[in-house]
Amino acid sequence: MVAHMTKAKRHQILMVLAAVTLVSGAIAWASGAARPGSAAAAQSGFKIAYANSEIGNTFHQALVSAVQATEKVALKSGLVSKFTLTDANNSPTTQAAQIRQDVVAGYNAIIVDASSATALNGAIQTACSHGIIVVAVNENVTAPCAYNVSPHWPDDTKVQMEYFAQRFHGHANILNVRGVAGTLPDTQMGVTGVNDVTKQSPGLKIVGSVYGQWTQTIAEQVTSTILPSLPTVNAVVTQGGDGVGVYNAFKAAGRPIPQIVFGNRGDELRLWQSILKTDPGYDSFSISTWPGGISSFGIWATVALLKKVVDIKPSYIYFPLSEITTGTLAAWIKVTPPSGVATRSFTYAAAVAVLKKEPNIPIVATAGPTGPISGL
Amino acid sequence: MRFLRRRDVAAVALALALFGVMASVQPGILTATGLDLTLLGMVPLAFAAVAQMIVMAGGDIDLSLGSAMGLVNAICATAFTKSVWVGVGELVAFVVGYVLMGAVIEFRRLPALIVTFAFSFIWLGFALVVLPTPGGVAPAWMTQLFSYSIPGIPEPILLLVVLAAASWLYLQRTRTGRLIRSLGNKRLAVQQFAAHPFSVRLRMYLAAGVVLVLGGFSLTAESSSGDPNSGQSYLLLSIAAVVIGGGDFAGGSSWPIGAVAGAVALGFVSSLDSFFQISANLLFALQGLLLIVALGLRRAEVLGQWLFVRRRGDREEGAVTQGVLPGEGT
Amino acid sequence: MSRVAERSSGVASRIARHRALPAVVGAIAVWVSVAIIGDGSVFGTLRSGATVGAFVALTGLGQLFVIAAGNGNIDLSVPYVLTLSAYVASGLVNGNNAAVVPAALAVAGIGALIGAVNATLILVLELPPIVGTLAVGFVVETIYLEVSPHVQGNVGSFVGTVATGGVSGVPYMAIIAIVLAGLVSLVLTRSWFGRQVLALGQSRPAAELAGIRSGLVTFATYVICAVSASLTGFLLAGYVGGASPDIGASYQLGSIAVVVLGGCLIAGGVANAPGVLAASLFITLLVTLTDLIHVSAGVQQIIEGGIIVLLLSTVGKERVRVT
Repeated sequence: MVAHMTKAKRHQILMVLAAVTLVSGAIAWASGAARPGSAAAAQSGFKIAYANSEIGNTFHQALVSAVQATEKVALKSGLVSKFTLTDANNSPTTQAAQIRQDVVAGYNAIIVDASSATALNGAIQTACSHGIIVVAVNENVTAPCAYNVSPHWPDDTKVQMEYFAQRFHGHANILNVRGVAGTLPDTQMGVTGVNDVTKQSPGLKIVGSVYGQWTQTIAEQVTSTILPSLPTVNAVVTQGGDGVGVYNAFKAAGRPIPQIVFGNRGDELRLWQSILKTDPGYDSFSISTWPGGISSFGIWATVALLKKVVDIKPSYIYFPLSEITTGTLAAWIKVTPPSGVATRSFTYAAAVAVLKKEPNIPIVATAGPTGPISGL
Repeated sequence: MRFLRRRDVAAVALALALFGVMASVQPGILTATGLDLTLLGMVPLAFAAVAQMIVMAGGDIDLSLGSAMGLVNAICATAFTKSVWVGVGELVAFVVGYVLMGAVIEFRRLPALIVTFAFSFIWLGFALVVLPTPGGVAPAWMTQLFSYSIPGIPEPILLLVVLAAASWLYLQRTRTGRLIRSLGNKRLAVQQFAAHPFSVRLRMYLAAGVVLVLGGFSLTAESSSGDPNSGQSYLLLSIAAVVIGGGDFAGGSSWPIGAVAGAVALGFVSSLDSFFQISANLLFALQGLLLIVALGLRRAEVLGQWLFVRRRGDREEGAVTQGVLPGEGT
Repeated sequence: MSRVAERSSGVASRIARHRALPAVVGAIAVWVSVAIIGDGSVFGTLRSGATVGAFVALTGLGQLFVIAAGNGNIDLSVPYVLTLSAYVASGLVNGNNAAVVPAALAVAGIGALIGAVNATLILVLELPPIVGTLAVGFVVETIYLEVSPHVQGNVGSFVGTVATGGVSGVPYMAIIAIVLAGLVSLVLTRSWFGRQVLALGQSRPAAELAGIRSGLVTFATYVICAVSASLTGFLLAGYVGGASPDIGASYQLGSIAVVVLGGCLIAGGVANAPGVLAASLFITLLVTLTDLIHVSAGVQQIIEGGIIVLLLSTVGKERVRVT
């Protein structure tokens, strides 16, 4: 029989068999290699699942490493007996399926960094109806039964615009660099936060609006192509992950560098530092949130909710925006690699202390990389 | 053992195998609730896969599928709160627009790939106009429709079976279905059936459009609200599902069972890390490798021949061909 | 064999020249509209549009070979190759301009390897190109995600200047894109290899009968596409000043769109390199145009899609082939 088969067909079958062996081996190795600690199941302790949205940008990469670090501490302390991290590659379909699987697996709580503000609601609702606590960190969800742990996102751009109003005495041409159209964060920051201030200060004119999609290359490209058609731009309001791109576009166009408020990525902070070297009068700041802070805080808050240490009903659990000033810049750069993000994490005790103060949390925290998280 | 030579056997086998593996790691999915929850998310993808399969059977490809699902989702989450007639009207307008897209492709003899690419912006645009930011509410009747169940049988299974059966019937047993498949088969002129290619292509896009509307319903019911961007991930997944299920880009054949099974298999693949503790980075490589293996398994028909058919004369090269038209499956 | 190839390239170039016209008209129309509505610098817009458009044009010129060879060939791994190359280049150069040439060679080598893998899966395992190249892309994604935390450098000031600067008002990227398009045109019409690619795309059976080794030619096209993607990644890292996981975001469907909008037949056999340049400029400035008209995001998208459909409708007649 074998003799009747063509060489090509035999070749194909061999390759398929090889691929199957390779893949099974890969799954076995990956399962074994990736997760120390989760095999050890303590008798007490909660079972928590973390459904992450994506790891395709530096912010989320930093967020996920903080999750993994916090997981180790949580498992060691016995507060948590089982912890799973899943990633959805920014697909709400996948993320909803993963949340449903967490329900089937019987977790006590599911932490979600949502890839869509609404598309996960069905899965979240299902989880809640099974008595599972659902905590949405970083990006908000509209499901009424879920907790939202995040900054009040419109404040991110509101703080920037208020700064421009003060700096330019109420009159400035502003470029609005937005995120991805049709997403909740973009509406919160690019529309609500900005409009809140332009209503009070009509002298702040939005002379242009581009979608940078929170990506440096795209921000640079869309800014540079619209710049020749814009009048003088005094200031740029950004949403994060776009500061370097915007700066590069102005520089390449030979235009004077406007007032840009930076995010907290390592490359942006270093860029700011280099601008200060040539122009020490360049007054700016960085506003964003700590990816590791928000994820570690989210995990500890979930534990606290499960332990009923605090009694908070599903609603917003506000987390402060983090601000870096010219004074704290050098210290932050020291602890943030160029491809990293400025962040610091919470311990369980620190998180509970903050929770007990909710909702009286300052909008912006100015803490440095070490020392007490002041103001909280 | 002739069924082993069908091109959709690999997809069904893969779906069953993945299900088996995952059930052994997580026995919880073998309960009625577990099954329901596991398969629920695959229903919209199955509709998307069937829609893409119809278009591919005609030799085209629809790159606007993701945005179209998002548009239907946006309409469902907003229009029906005003009135049923507004909702129906907007959905009809969408289907008309979708058929128009097919008309542009046929009338100007344009490549479907680039026309649908352009229309993906148009659908997304309308979705953003109707629903500028995620929100809205799924109508109660829609949610109920998709949670109806016969005791003991989780509804998703019912839906998947009905979908596969209905699309098979349409494409294999109706005249329009055969015309659509011959449109894709480059070797035959549709004129043989005395039907104008233009009208056949319109009917093809009408069928796909209706399936997309139903898929949008299921997506809205499953998420209970609207997000104009929520359909994007269905595009590549639908193409992969159809291809795993036995379909190809030359058109001319259609494998509805394969497309649905492919959707189920891909649903399992995407929640791999729920079942195995796999590091997020490695996940991508694993998904890629699994796709490669799954497609390599399409050649299982060859393996089947080799194992089960004794006499040399009984073997055929390639897939089962027993219809009137070459390339037509059963 | 040479006569078949010559005849097919003669017919092909006549069709091709005509087919690039809509992309050129579209690019000019959009450019003029931006200048008028934006009330700004006409040449400034052209300069920035040409710089930005050059990147997608480069990936398009590589993709052009794959699509021209026909048979459903397409490469969806472009954005992943691009991102991996950005990381590798950043790491190898690490700010040292002297390391640029060896780094470029290394990056091109990696691209060639990935292209070879694509071609092997498609030719040997007979994987459909859309899903096969996508699957390879996923594997590449894992590689760069693993690599990324270890890469801290950037590609240096020389590449940065090339990617963003210019000479007497003409951007370097535009010069590179134009020169490469000219080269690709020459290869397609005058070289033995190029004519084989076109012959293969026009009619695979006829080409094979004429003695063209379809497997080898197809293999070469995938390698060319991946190498162009990897070199584009190198330049893009210079443009933005560093590598990041999302650097390749818009290049997947973009590289295909500019090929087809530029006048290439998706079925293969007809290719138009200058058309790719025009289409790249058109698509780049189309976004700028809709950003300038102060309408909502939804209307912007509808206008963009609508203009592309309008442009395409003036082209028509994809199905000119007999077999």
